[in-house]
Amino acid sequence: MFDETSDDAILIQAAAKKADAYAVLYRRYVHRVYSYLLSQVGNVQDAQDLTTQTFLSALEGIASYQGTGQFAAWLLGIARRKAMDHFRQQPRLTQLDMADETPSSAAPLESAIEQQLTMAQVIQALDLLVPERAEALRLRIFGELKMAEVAAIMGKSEGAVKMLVARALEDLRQYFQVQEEARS
Amino acid sequence: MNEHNLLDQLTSLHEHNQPDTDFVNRLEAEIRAAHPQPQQNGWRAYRKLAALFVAGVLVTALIGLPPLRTLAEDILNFFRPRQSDVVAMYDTEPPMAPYDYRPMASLEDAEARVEFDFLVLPQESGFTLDQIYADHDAILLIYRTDQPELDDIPPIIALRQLNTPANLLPPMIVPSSNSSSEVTTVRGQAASYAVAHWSLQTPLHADGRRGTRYTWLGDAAHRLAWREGPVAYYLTAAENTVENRAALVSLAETLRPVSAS
Repeated sequence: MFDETSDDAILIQAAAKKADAYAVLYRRYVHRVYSYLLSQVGNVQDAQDLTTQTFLSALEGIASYQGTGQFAAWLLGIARRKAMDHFRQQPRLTQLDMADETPSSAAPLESAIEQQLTMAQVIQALDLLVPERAEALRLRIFGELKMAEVAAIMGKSEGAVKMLVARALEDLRQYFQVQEEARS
Repeated sequence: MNEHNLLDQLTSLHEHNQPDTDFVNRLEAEIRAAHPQPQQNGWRAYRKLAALFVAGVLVTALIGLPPLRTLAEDILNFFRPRQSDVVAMYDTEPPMAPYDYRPMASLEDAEARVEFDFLVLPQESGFTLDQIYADHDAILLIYRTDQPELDDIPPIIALRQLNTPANLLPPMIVPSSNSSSEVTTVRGQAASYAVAHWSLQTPLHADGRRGTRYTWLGDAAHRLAWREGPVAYYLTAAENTVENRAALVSLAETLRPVSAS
């Protein structure tokens, strides 16, 4: 009855009563939730645990969710709170189980244009940014949210979020530029 | 590295951040197992039959029996939304799930968790604080009276307070797009009033544990919504707790900080 082509609004209406509908929603959004959480916590195990918590919490709340336009923002809002709770219990550390992806400082680097960043590098760099800028960028890129949706989650105006994202990108660009110059 | 190139690389990383297939399948199985089974509700079928019967009577009365036509029209008019003082309408209550509500044993515990100054009903209001659910930016207070339940609706008053920017929340929430709300004033602020029932339920699970969930039950409650600075207030009173809009507004006017209660 429900498949990949089903409309979000229909799935959301049915999800509280039909496991199949919720499962389609889950399949549709699991990548975004997981990728966002991975960009937050930096390791696969915690990202999986928080993804699980997010979708189980969303299942509990889906009966009360009757909106139709911002399901992704609602879901990512839950994920964000799960991440915040995670960091309350376990303060942010720089240890990353993807650290082995990070090239050693002695390794020759490719040119700036050709250089391929790793997720570990990006997560480490995001942790160094002003938290609001990093968060806006995470929600925008890894959560695939629109600026207005990021604004709703963060409690800011759309213009402010655009500014945060732009500054986060500029900060990241400068950070990697400095890293590259230090290595070369 | 320019900004465009950086954006491309970040997007590419996101595309590669695919969760492990085994994990995705395992979690889907877990979700399906946790999904509540649809309830077999014979009452619902009965109500449908009753509604069909009533509809049949109305149609018959409207078409064939002139003496009953006025009565039938009155009944139909009753269900039409009133057009006076209608303001913007919204289909949804602000979602509960983004908030990590946790049950609190006391107002003191709630004050320790909630990160803004919330309001409570004074002790002399006659309502007893029954349940407290709190998050850092939200609190839900459930009050009870000694009144008997009315059509399975408990005699409760629910007060939700959300500390959130003004652009996030609608001025009023009503259960269907056919409903309307009226403008009034509460604590010096513009407020919306509607008759609609958003109720806390405490279903009994198979393992004997009581859960909580919220659901629309019908139109048997009075609701007020207003905003004071960054805090939005949603005051809902079951029909058997307050009589009308004026009574609910009066009750809202008595809200005060915990320290003054």
